[in-house]
Amino acid sequence: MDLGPAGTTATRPGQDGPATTTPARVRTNRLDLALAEARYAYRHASAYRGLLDRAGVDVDGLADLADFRSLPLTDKQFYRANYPAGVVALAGPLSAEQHVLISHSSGTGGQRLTTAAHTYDLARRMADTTSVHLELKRRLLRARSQRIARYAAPNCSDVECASPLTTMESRTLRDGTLVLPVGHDLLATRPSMVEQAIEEVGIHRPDWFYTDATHLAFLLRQYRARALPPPAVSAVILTYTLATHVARRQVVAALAPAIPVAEVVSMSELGWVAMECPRGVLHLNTATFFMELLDATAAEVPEGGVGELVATSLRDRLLPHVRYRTGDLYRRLPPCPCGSPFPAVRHEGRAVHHLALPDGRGLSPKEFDDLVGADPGVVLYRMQQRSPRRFRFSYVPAEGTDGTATGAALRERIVAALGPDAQVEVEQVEYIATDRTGKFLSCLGAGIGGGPR
Amino acid sequence: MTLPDLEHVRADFPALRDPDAGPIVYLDSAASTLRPEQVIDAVADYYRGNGANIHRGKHYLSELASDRYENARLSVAEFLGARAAEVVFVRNTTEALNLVAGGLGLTPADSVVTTLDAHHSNLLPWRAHASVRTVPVLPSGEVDLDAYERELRREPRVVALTACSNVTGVRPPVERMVKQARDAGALVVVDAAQYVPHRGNAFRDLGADFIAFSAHKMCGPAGVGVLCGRLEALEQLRPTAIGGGTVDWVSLDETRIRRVPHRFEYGTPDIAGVIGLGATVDYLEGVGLGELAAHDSALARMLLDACAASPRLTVIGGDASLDRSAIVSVAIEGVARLEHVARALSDSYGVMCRSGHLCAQPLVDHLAGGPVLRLSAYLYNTPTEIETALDALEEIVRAL
Repeated sequence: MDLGPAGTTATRPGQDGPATTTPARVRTNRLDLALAEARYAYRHASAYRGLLDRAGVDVDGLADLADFRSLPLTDKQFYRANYPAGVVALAGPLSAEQHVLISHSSGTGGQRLTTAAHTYDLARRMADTTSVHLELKRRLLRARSQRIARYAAPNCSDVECASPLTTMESRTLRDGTLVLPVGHDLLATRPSMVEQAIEEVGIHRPDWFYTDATHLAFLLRQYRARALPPPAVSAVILTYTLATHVARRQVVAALAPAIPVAEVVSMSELGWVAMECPRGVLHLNTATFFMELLDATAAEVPEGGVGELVATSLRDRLLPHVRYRTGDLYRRLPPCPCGSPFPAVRHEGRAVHHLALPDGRGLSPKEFDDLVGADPGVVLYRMQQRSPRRFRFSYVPAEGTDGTATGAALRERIVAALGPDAQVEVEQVEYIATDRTGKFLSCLGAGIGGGPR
Repeated sequence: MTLPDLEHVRADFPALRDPDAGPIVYLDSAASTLRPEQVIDAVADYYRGNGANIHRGKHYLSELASDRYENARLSVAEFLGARAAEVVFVRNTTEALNLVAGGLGLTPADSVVTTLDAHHSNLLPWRAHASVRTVPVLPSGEVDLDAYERELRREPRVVALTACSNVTGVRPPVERMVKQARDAGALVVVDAAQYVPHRGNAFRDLGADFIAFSAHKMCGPAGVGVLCGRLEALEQLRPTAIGGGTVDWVSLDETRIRRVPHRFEYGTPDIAGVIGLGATVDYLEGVGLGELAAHDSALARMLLDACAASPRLTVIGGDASLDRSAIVSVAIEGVARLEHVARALSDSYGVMCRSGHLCAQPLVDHLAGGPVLRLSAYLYNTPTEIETALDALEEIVRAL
């Protein structure tokens, strides 16, 4: 199954909105562009040339989807190991190129990456991705000054924002984004650093937030605790980690009702790749990428199936990615009633974070989050698998709620979902540590931990 | 812990199945425990596949090592019921207690109250910096709580408690004692070296300003320990050693010290040891903290009953009504050279246990009048092993 547009319109590269075309033409056009991307990478990036030569691929003979599928997959390790000399497709040095953004990502799985992209490519991908939510896109474009505030894990930015020694100037990126100060361990962020963030929001007056949902929920709780009105922004983009229902509930409740809040999947190496439509359904950007959802045998998953997102950039003349394994698992959904031509998916999280249940079933972080839901008694939670049978669910109760009753109800739901052989410990706490990367992961699966063998 | 689980756990410990040594009964866990494969692998993997320094460079191996080191801090914090920044990695309990005793700016005019059940490491550092008053221990093994309350009325600056005696295994009511001490305005430090290996959430539950423990008494590597302290208490401490890793900025005439906990972790730490400690708490969490505590209590009862039933053994501080861990020390009627007993237990029966004053000479001399023989069990010990050890002890005592 091809991940082409589901309807009769598609957003094309460089365009602002949907353009009328036929699915077959769009699919062919995108496939042609993907094949061209592979040929371009082969000719201009030595590591990719080596990869195809070793695989015995005749790059000039690439003609159809079957040929495309014969191309070897690439991954973060490939790009990390070959950056910059083997993957940057430039004749000259990177420093001589204009409009280049170099970024360093710590990676959710601890796999770091340095990457480069043309800023106009990133803008184009962002514009295409946002086409699934026109009201939000309108608000972003209409913003008076494109002042953005970022509140997320400190390691996610190319600035040191967890140090008390930094200034606003040192944390303002070239695109006008102010990276707000925050502790590596979110709940242990010092009050002085919270005050600093709130003060800087007041000075910067951001048009919109580009933020981690759990981080923003924390910041908004701090506003409320100080009896301050929430920041007056026109939109909120939730990204970096899974936006849990409880975090989103707090964000939406704190802000004015008209402010659109949407989740975006963004990656340092690719930019924006997916976004929620107004109905809350995630759509993959298939205008500026050729997307595949592949199962363990590298076959496309059918509707309802879960596969790893494999992305190919289109017309990237700086650092093309061809059949790039993102490591993220998505469920392919039926076409969305919103009418977007982009395929509807559900982001299930990374395989390493899935819970492996004693009865052999798996449960994704997203599925587990649906189980918790937008529980009004919870402000934050973490589910952690400690051994093949042992699970610990920790939650921070909401102020003014009966934490014990909340815990009992949650235990009932969790035990029912995990099955009779799972030993579930439900714990009410005041603090949950943030991951070393500074990201708050709400679900840590069987890939983590080291109990008895 | 059910027996099938126990067999599962035992299979993780290679020392228990060393073909050259033959079957062993390891009952010296209060000194140092054995290590499971998971911890050994974590330590070896660092040396085998990495070996880079932490927090120093931007190269990949350094960042990977730093991540694993800091992830260990997160795991330990969760295990203790603490915040990550409240966990300071040190070499062992002794260094942790010295860090507090030496960092508070104490003088001989300051009074520190400790208890007779203290290990030397929770006595000597205080003696080196302040005036120490010691609360007695009763023959039952119980800390004299009346005397303790009298000492608190003298408003000591510091109270240094022991969460579990390494001699008797008795766990005094530390939570209550901590509260009393804090109400009296004292800073409270708890030596939890024999407590943390058996109980999760120690920092949260005990409520002290500081607790200290070592990894090697809980299946972790030797050479790494933890000082866990409330942030505001850690902020009071002056680092006893500074240098690389402890500062944010150094100019010719200015030094800006790093935030807690990094200001206390001077020089290159035992990176592999800390990573191994992270694997250790993951392992114990995998076993289950409730099961761990229940197993400890069951073995404690078994050890105490078996020793009490032996006519020539006198259990030190053996009041069966007291809360205790699986540590029992005995004097043997008519046998003065207990090291001979320990040697015979080891060489002829494969039973490893400890003899001597156990680094708690004031208590051992007070209760036993001389050296004792100590048997201490942990999560890998079985009821059968306790019987085997006591049978062997009986045979040796009869023969000596």
